[in-house]
Amino acid sequence: MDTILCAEVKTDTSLPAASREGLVTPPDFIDGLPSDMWESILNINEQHSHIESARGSEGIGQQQDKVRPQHTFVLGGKRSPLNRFISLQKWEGVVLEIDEECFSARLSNFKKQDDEEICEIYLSEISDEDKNLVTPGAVFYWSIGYHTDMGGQRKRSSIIRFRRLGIWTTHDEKQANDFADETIKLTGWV
Amino acid sequence: MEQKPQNSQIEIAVFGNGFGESVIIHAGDNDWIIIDSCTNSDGEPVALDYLKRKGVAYSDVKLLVATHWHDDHIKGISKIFDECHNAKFVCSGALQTRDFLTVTHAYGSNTGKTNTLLKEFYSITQTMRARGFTKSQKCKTPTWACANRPIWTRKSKNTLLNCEVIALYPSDEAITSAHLEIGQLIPTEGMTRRSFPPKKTNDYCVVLLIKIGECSFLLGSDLQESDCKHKGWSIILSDETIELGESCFFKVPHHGSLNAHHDDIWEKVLTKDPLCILTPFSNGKNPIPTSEDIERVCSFSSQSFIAKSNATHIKTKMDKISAEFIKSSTKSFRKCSKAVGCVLVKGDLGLKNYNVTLHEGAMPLCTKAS
Repeated sequence: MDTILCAEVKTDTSLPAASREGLVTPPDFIDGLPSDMWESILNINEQHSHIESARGSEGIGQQQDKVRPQHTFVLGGKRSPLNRFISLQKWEGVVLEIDEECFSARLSNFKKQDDEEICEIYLSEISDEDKNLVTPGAVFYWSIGYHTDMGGQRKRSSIIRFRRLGIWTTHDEKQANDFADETIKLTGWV
Repeated sequence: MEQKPQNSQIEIAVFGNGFGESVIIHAGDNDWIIIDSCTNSDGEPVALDYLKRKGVAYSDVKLLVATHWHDDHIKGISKIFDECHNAKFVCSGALQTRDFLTVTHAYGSNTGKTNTLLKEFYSITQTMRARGFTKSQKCKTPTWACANRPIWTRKSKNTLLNCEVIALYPSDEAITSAHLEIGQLIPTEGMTRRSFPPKKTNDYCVVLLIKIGECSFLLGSDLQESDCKHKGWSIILSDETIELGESCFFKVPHHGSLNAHHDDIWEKVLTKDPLCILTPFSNGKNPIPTSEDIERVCSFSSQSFIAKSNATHIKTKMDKISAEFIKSSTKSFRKCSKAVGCVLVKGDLGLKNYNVTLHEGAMPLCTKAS
């Protein structure tokens, strides 16, 4: 079954070779299917194989009964192979300084743990909803890769998304204050 | 294994990687002092690696100083604190406040890969708390540095081995204003969570004067001059209660930047043509020292060295798609070199005779200027 789901991807030469290899098995998609749905897929494909082999020499008018298993798409399940993002590069960044045109940031590369880069990113690259999060010390994630939308269209994509840490709660305040009081008691800090 | 210095030898190693600095001093008699911390390409504190290579026991480290809380000066320092059990931990008196502990927990207890500003201090406080739980006698409280406070002393029969480490800064005014600032950093209920914003000024960092026998060493940390006459280098230079003498060695403050310069440092508290070392800062938008900074420092001392050249940039190798996006989305993009350079000074007590060796990209500063 893995072969059937992946045949189309493996022959898609528009993707870089490295990415194609990385798509050999979409494990999250397979694992997300209910087992009875998975069994029904296996049964359908077995039936189709049987039909194909039985009618292999039929004339043109009867070939409409033939279904090729390699084009079987599984709909539903917990996750879809569509609307997914394949990352080529991913960084976590922290904002250093901001000026009118861009902000400077230090980037830490997810794929190469020891690599760090310094860059100045144009503010125009940031979505409107994230713009007020661009402050010194703010953390963001920058991913570059391929995005496949629900219609199956694939395009190159660069996404910068700022980390949303929620809001400070009473519990957070209490935790921080308790930590301070206990530290003073244990260490004589103040 | 590299050779340990003899008991009657002084050794000063200044490490810099473009985003960090660490100074390791052998003050004679197998007593070691570590000031600030940066990490090597393996992520390990360079100070521990250096001592290990020399066969120095971590228990011989007597002082560990965190001059301020910028992460280019304290990266990896919590690991040094964990390993060097006998070391007195020294930090700025500006941090001796309950509010600092609250802020440390708020911002340091949960950080990502890059924003490590308070993570190191949070780790240190955790270790101190653990020692407090077990009633351990080992360092569980910092020694607070403030103006004109001796923080470590060694008396010896050989007076050339007498050693005194004195904090020259922060001033009372700097500590007071720091306490107010830190209080304002405490997040309150309903506030949007943010990462801890990096502080731009260095109002309350620790400046040290180390006297070994007849020789003095002035370590300027990142102290910048200030508009306020009670802060910055001006207050140190005008304080008549401090005996500054003349230092023969100067760790140039804040990477040689103009805003950390004060003429009187060179003219009144340093010998003529002192031995000077600075570290570069090349991981920001505007790398320092600039060529003007280099020219200025070299005008005061021809014996100036830099731990690593600012010109070391590595070309980034990347797939074509990513390279295209980076080119269109950014004004500039450069990879940081993690290699750590080192200026190593070895000499006799008093530093009358010494030699300087340069390692891993360290170079004379004044050659660059010419």
